[in-house]
Amino acid sequence: MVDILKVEQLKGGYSHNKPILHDLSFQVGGGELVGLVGLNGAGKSTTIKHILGLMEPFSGTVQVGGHTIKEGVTDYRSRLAYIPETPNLYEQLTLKEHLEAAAMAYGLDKATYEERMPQLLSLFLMENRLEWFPGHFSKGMKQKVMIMCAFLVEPDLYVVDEPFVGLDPIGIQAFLDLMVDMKTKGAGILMSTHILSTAEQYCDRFILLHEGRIAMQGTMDELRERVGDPKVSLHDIYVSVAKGEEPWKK
Amino acid sequence: MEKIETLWSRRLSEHWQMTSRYLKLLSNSGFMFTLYILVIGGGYFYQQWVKGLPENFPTEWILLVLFSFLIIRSPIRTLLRSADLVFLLPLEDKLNGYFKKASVYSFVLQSIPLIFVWAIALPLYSHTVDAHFAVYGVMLLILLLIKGWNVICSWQENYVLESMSYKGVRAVVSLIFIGLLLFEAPWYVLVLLALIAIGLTFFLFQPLGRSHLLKWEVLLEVEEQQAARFDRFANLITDVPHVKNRIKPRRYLNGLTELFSYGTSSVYKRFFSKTFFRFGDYFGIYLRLIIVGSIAIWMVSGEWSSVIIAVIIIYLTAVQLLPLWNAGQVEEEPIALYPIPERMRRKNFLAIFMRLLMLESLLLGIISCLVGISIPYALLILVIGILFSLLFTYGYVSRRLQKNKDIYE
Repeated sequence: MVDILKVEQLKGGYSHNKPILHDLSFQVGGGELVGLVGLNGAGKSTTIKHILGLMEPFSGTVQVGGHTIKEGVTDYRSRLAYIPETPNLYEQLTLKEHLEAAAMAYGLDKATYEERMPQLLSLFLMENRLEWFPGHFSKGMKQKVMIMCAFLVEPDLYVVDEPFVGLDPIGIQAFLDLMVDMKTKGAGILMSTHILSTAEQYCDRFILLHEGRIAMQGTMDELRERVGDPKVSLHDIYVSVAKGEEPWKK
Repeated sequence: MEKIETLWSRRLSEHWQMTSRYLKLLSNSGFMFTLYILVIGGGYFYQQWVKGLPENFPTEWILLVLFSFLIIRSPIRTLLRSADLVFLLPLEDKLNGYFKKASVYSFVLQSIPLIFVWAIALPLYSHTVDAHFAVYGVMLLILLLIKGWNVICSWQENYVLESMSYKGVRAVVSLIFIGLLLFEAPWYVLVLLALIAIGLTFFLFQPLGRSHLLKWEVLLEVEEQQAARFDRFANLITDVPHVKNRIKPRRYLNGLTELFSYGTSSVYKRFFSKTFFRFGDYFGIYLRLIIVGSIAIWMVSGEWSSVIIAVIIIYLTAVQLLPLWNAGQVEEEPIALYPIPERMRRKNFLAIFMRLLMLESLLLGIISCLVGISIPYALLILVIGILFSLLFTYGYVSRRLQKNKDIYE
């Protein structure tokens, strides 16, 4: 399997004296949905910032499609799409203009853009909102706009930060379906979330972050094997890790 | 919790503390100096200009527009905050006193520009309409009464969501009243109109407050708009952290922004042009400066002076447009959103910036032609304006923007 995202011994944070991330190593392969799980403050957002190239690693590397961001910022960034936790929309652009800007920025040709756009709109029941400004959108609708922008450009890698909060059931289902769809097309997805039941159901592998280190990672079966309990849920493993119990030592 | 009666005075003193801080900054900046120059220079030319005016100059019509605008626009400054929607909502009944004080405050505050305009127009009025000061003095009193009536009705309009028709009635009555006043209609016509206004107050506007509930969100919106107006003004001089900009769709201008073809290199051309048209007050300032420039060129009517005025106006526009670079950004990490090099973003910004200045040069050139500047000098305005736009954009702005760099660039 090709690694779309490869993080090797990443050490990083805001200050060299106090690194937040310690020695993170993981991969996201093509056709794989990986869940990034951890408490508030475990380092999920910092990890994501390093992947996006908003922060520089102190040591270690982050590669997308085999290249680091230093080899070419634009090329690196056009391989990935990011769906932030808090939707960031330009107040002065309509829904349609957001989609168009994303399509143009990622170099999508016009025909593809015009083909994909109506499909996404109907999936998220937003057809009648094309000319609306974000000021009139609820939080969930804004989230939908971010999701549509990401899936419109169909990059190799999706980086998704807590997508479920605020989305309505139709939105959640459409989002999950799209992720499965993109996986089968060969994209890799890294998704940070607290909704563990959904994560357990949809993610192929998990990375459990605790205090800036990877406590455990692997498929559900691998996690269960390490804990030594074939029926335990992701929720229970996660709670146990979060309490600092190091369940694999039991 | 403190008593509800003292809430207004506390809010007001807090508000003025904030405001005076910015006013102090304003008075210390070069802006005030420019303003002094404008006032002194403008005053001189104004005197000269008035002396040369014919008797049939349409002073009344000009004053009608100015006074009507200042009188009919009567938003109530409530000093409400968004948290009040939660905490003060249960006290709606007890807030009558608070809102009364707010209405009085709004009246006083909005009367100041009215009195200013009245005073500035004094020489104009006495030269072209009526030299008796008493007539013009009484007029101010009546104007203030109409203003007061507008504030009272404007407050009542806050009880309904669809207040356009009420605003319409108020605007039409005020307009007719001011018009009749300026054209010196007989006193009984004015009395009749005053009676109509009083009748409307009791039978149309007052019942709103009795039969509806206060629309808090409208109040808050009006308050925030007014706060934003001042903040935006202060923001021209200094950085106001909490500036919340409003957007105006201005859909009729969409065609212009769509001129930039579909493609990666157009993303930020479209972005900046749309931001310019819709966000904050950039488009408004641009238009206003062109209008001010045109009026100045028309009033001074000199050949070289019109060129100098044009360049000053273009320079002022350029300075006002600079913050467009950061305008309308999302809160965090704008660069993460689109895989477009910062270099390209800068290039696109400069392209839009320069085009706006060049367009302004062209407009000023055409307008000077229309107000009687000879064609060679109008052409000179165009050429010097374009040269200035080029130099300012690529000599100054581009260097300033170089400082913003992506960490990986």
